[in-house]
Amino acid sequence: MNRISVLWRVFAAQLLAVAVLAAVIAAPAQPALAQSGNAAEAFVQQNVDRGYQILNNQGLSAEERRDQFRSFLLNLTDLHRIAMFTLGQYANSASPADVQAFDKAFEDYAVSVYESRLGKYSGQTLKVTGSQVRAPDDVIVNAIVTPAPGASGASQQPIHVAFRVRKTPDGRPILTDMQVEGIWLALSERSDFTGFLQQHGGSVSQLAEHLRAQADQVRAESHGNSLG
Amino acid sequence: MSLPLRLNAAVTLCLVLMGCAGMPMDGTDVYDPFEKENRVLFDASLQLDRVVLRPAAVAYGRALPQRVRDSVRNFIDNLSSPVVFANDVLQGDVDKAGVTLFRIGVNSTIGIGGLFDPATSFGYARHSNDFGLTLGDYGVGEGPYLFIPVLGPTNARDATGYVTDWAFDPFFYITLRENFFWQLGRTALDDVDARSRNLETLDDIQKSSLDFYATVRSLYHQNRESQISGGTAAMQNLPNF
Repeated sequence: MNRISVLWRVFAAQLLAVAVLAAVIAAPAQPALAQSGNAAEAFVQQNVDRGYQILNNQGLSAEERRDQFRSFLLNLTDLHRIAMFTLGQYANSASPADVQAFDKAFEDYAVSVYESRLGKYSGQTLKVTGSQVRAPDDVIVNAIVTPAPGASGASQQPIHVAFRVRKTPDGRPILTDMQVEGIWLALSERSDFTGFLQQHGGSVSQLAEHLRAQADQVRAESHGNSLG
Repeated sequence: MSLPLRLNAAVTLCLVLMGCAGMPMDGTDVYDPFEKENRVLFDASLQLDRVVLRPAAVAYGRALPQRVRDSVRNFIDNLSSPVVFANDVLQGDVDKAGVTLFRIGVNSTIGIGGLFDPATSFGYARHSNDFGLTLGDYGVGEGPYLFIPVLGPTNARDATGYVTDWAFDPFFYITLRENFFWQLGRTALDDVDARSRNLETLDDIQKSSLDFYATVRSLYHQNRESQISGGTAAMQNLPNF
């Protein structure tokens, strides 16, 4: 297989990483899972159900749905932990004010990206297939996303995804990363951000500025893409 | 150079490069000692894409209906199946080798020379494989990251694998006389078709990246590692956060 094809595959996978989280959260429950004793698997499944309820609640306006999904997402994922991780070594050398600004910009950016994908849900279903326990507070939950029947071409292939479930200091399970076809979202973002920082003299404030601009751009482009 | 010699040379080159690359990593960082040069080549490739490959892909997508383009993709994939098969065997994966062999047989006959892919509807879906993955399977490290124009992102191990895979390609021998133009045409068609299938995706990733070079490097590394390990080793090497 030609290398460029590999590259496109890889690109497609990363894009899917952002597209799939919305879709995955929106996917209906698989009954077999209800019997699973694994807490992390159950956690992922419950939240899939919860997200599905929000997306399918006909009583909500597009705006209400977006707001509910936002607080759902913020509650489900540890965006602060992810943000600090994506700074890599620069998290230690940056000023607290810069780090705080970045933290805020990152949350804004992440939410804008997921919101822009909300309207793209097209009937995929998610099935948790198992989990690997790295540590009591660090579990990888594997799942397969199956496209809706009748999906065309390349989108017919099932997609392998995984969620990294960790714990908050008070013992609550929380998502810290998500993987699509072998690619972890937070790891990719860390490469992107530290690459940028390396090219810009380690300026975390510049990074925050760029992220804010990107969030605005994402919002502008998805404007009118209602959640219908 | 005879085939065994060429193979031998490739593997030696690979091992030498790996030998220089024995530096510790935490499983997520990519070893990129040629970053400066790679970035120059990466930027040049983006320009080349903007001027040549992307416009060609757009024109190709407009000129041909989806069904024809799907047949082009099937045909190209079928041509590369012997290479996939060779690597399935080298990795000792009997199941995968069986699937690939079945696909070659069915798609080359019922599938009219590979234009159609009936094997997938019989439950034998395609998988890719290459000698870079085989080397990885044997425990060879990836070595320094390389960005090579036209080939794209790669590393010492996978570039070695790319060259070695030619030896597994029957068309390399069959079409020896016109080989250069045959291979060139085949590669060009492969690239244009692949590019046309990912116009939006690539634009999207590029737009959402702050450092596109570093993003591509990370995506490539993670994707290859996950293919080699079947996902398990990559899970063990995750950073703690």
